[in-house]
Amino acid sequence: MPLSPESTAALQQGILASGYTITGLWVAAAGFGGPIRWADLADIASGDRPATPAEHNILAAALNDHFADLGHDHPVASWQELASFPA
Amino acid sequence: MADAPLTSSLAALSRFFVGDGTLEETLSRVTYLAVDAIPPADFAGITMMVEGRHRTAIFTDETAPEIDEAQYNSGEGPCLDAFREQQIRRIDSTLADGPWPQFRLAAAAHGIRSTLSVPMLVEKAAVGAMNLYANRERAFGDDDAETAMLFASQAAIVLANAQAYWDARELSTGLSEAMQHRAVIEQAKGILMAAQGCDEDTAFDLLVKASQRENLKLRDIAQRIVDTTIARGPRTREHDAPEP
Repeated sequence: MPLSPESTAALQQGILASGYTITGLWVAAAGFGGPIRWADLADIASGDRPATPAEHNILAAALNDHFADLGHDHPVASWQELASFPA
Repeated sequence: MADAPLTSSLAALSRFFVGDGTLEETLSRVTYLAVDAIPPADFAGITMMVEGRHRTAIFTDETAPEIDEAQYNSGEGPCLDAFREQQIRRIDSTLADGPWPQFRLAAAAHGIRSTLSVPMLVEKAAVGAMNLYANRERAFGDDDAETAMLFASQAAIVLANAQAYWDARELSTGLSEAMQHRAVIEQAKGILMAAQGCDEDTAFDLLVKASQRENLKLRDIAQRIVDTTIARGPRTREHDAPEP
């Protein structure tokens, strides 16, 4: 999966900045659909396995909605945005 | 009877139902009971981790966190040692030389002459430290240390149960809210799938792009699509479907 390192870095930075625990993000992500298991999320957050594009976008959306509450404008890039960034 | 304060405090502790109050309220009640249980103590505080930092989050007198700040700033103190090393730590006289000099200075400056810190243990793990302060030297004896340890072990269980209760309640509330958002997002995705003839992931991507483009929360975009579709009523045709 060519975007794995960028995806992992983007999600890890977002999780760190948000202050979410794994459980907190898992609950938030549950509101955006998609069956992400807690253990899978823990693996993605620790970098043990990459997120799929669908997982990445759900987690990014959950993080960005959280950041929107804090007045920030979508700091976590979507999968499509990561793909469009110059290498 | 020497054990009367301890007995009455432990009895009160056993009647706790943590659902009666917030975690903070429950901890505060535990701390007041500790002062009642150990007569030499003038006031008490609980050192615990709050957002990754040691803090005196609960106290019976505002002097406690002011004194404790000296040890959190220096990284050294009897409360921190009791927490980290799971051992009782006692200062018989803050006016005498000894370990934790900055804490001794801060305590003495606030009129505290002796302290007793005991770990709050649950299954060999420390959940905090209970700290007792007295305005006279050598206020706490070995019996007080034993009593404090006994009380702290009971208080630690209350703490752990209260934390578990409120964690579960917070999780339940969070999931309930998440499911409400999810219903709206699923409805919006369905509307877009029907209108655009796309699959579920593509419909979600459309919501993501609209959210970024308009700098709005994705769930607000989804709500708008659902509201617009409902407002249009049965006249809605494919090409009338709202733009995400």
